[in-house]
Amino acid sequence: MDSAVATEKDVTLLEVLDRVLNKGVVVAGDLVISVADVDLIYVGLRVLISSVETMERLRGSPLVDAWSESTP
Amino acid sequence: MTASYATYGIIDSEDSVPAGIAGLHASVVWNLPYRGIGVVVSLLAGPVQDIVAGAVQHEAVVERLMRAHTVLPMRFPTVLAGQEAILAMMSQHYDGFQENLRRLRNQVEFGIRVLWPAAHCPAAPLRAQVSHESSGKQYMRERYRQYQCRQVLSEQADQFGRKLDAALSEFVTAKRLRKTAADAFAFDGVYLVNRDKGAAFRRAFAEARGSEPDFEYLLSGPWPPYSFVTG
Repeated sequence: MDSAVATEKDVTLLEVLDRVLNKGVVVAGDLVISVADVDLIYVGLRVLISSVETMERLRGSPLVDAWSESTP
Repeated sequence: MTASYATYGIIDSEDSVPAGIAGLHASVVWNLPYRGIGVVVSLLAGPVQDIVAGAVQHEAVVERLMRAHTVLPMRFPTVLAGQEAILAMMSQHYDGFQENLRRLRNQVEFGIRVLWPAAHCPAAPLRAQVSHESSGKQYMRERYRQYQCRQVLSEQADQFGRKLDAALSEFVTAKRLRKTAADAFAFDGVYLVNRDKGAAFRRAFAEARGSEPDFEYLLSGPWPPYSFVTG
């Protein structure tokens, strides 16, 4: 892949994430996650994800990993 | 078990959304009307496994909505349990949604980021440093040189920010500017622009950019007005 194109895509993705995860209408809601054999867990949130860094931590969290491992 | 709904945005209409918009997990997206406006949702069949892919899909839905409506994008992820919770949310925030929809009608957002020219403050090569100086002195000297270099660039960034502001002001409804302390950006601004003035805004930016070629620039947009939705 052309490196310039890849860089442009990376920049665009960061711009998207910066807006979608950090801005917009905030109301009380629930993030749906799951662990191994339990169907769904609803975690109340207001502003759960406040930055891309937080998102990265969430991606690596045991809860999300457990769900991923249980997915075929 | 109560159904879970992913929410994408508040729109200025009770009408159905255009067909063929795919939500999270390729789900069907529809508009739940409420007193003249609507909240666009889809059923969420399971956990959001990939946060990045989910965020991108959320944005894709919002951008499709933006083509036909004024839209207040929801922050991702906002998942509500059951239609009663959605109606309660609409009731609680109805006045604020109406005010935002009025203020943001036909408006889009552009982002401008100015990056430090990395090559302007390069670390001095070790060979060029004075050999009889202690490593501590060399380190402090280098730190001070970098600091001075950044000070000069910071002043240049301020000047450019003012110039940019003047060039763009006639096309801008509102703006949020941030001079960042972070290393990556010398200038970070978001601009609310009438959709019809988007092309003129871009041209004005291109002209201003050409007058300061030393910096690097990121112009993005048009976006839904994420940064201008107020609580």
